[in-house]
Amino acid sequence: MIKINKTSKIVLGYITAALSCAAFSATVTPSSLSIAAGSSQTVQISNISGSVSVKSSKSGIVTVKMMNSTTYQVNGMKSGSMVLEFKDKKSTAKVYITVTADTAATLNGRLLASNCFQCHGTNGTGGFDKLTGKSTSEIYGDLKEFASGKEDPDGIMAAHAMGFSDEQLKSIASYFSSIR
Amino acid sequence: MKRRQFIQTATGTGIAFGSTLLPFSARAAANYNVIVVGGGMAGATAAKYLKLWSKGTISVALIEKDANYVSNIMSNEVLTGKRPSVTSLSYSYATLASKYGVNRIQGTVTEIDAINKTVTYASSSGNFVLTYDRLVLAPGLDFDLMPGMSSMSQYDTQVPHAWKAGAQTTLLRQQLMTMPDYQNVVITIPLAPYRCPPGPYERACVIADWLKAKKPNSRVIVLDENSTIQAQAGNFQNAFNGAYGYRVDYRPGCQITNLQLVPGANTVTFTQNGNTYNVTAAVLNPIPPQRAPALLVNSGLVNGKFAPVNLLSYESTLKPSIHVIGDACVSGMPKAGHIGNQEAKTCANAIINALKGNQYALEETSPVLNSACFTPLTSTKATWLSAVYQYSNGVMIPSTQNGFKQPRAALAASTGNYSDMQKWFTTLMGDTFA
Repeated sequence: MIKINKTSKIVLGYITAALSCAAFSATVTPSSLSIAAGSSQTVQISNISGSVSVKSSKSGIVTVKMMNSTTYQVNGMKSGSMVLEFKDKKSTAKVYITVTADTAATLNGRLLASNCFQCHGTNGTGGFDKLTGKSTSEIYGDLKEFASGKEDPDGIMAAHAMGFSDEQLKSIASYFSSIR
Repeated sequence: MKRRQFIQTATGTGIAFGSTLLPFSARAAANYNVIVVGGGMAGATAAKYLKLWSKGTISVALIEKDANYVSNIMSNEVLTGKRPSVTSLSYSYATLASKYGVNRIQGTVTEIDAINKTVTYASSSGNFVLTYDRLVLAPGLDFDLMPGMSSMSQYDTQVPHAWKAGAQTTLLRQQLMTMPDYQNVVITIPLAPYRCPPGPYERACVIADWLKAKKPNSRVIVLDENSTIQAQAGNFQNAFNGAYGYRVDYRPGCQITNLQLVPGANTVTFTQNGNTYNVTAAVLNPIPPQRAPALLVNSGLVNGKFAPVNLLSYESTLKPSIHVIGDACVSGMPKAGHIGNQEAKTCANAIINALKGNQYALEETSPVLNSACFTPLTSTKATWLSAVYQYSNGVMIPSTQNGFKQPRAALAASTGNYSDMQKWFTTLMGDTFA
């Protein structure tokens, strides 16, 4: 939990929302975050008075998306440290953020997974089936069905999946499940 | 660590020499971490992924002489009017610049100095020299003259090969449209390796299917210098034999010995099984033998007809810090756009790793490349060919994982495959240019 600083200048990156009034100073949980680039985490804001604006101390390190009136998603863009300030009518709550480089696990599957991009879009965002937003086991399970010849054995996805080792299919699944 | 230190040292030396040796009159040499030469499937993908995967920390210039890229993929459909024109296959470099920060330069590279790590290019505003840490060449191919021809310009005005989509595609289309009935369309195929193994057979099918409706007493004759069909042999042989309502006169193992160019009545002389034949072609489409462009030969990057590379990084085995991707390199895999796209990603990953360490990319010790390739056999039905290649001891070999053989092809042409083909093409071009 964070105590409040009274004033703060607002420079850039506003997200505003009408919020219900509360009698206490705004707080944000957690008060510090470490995020891998390419990943995201949410923060909760409570005890808000009036509308809230969000300010970044440095641009380019994260982007912030309001999910609902009390939940914000922080997306790590590139490595670096910065402070996010949530300011309401009376107070300011800070979150100290460190964005680290992509995890080795994520990078490990990326080049392999990029074999899928030609038909499923850059980073699997769609063309043929969208590959993001699924768990590792879900994607791996689908790929194994094709690779083993159980699912549509004469189809083009079977033809592709059959060419990869089990370990490679796991790595591909792990990569797509990590994309936010 | 050792590898990175070596690269930094080499880079420093290159720039110092470059500055010293540049003539005073040369304009200030801009430096890029990576210069990509050639904006086709491989080059555009390399430029995009160097920026995307390095999160913009690598400076990238893309030098291409043409204003736009015209896709070879799907260009056979322009020949029959299924697609309205080559304009519908045109892709600009605007998104690579605006979305990814690629510095797009329109110009023709005239010289590569591998020792001083400079590239000289000519553009409408003069000659310029740029320095690089890494150079990526994706230059496509040069075409040979066929026997009996006297000038490359004959391909532009009389017998278009149309094996690089553009004005020649339009000319070949016009020749087909204006050809009277009761004529021959002759396509010649060079010995492999050439660009797009199924492409010539696809072209024969698409034209034969169109003739069936428009000029039913004309026929397509294919003179193949190879002894067998080079891709999807079963599907093409079925098509040639009449499975889709047209026939193609397919002749393997031919050697073309002379082309006599006469508008509307060309003569092709060829030998097959020791006999010599002449055939008259109202429309003649000679697909010439192909090789890495002269720029690469002059730069000492070519051994035989193509550029040998290390398949982990696509770095030349003949000159350090120069990478060759796409149709001009020796990869052991088909020379095709989808493959070029993935070679580019493998190359970009390796360059980022070399220049930046594993913060942005990991060294890949066993890359996999896959290829998907859809092929229209009629105006409504298509097949596909898929192959997965695994790296093994310095070469890319068709995968034998799971006990299944590669490559694999569709069982037959279908309308479902035809609609998948459109989606594949759109998404592939998006992954490359957008």
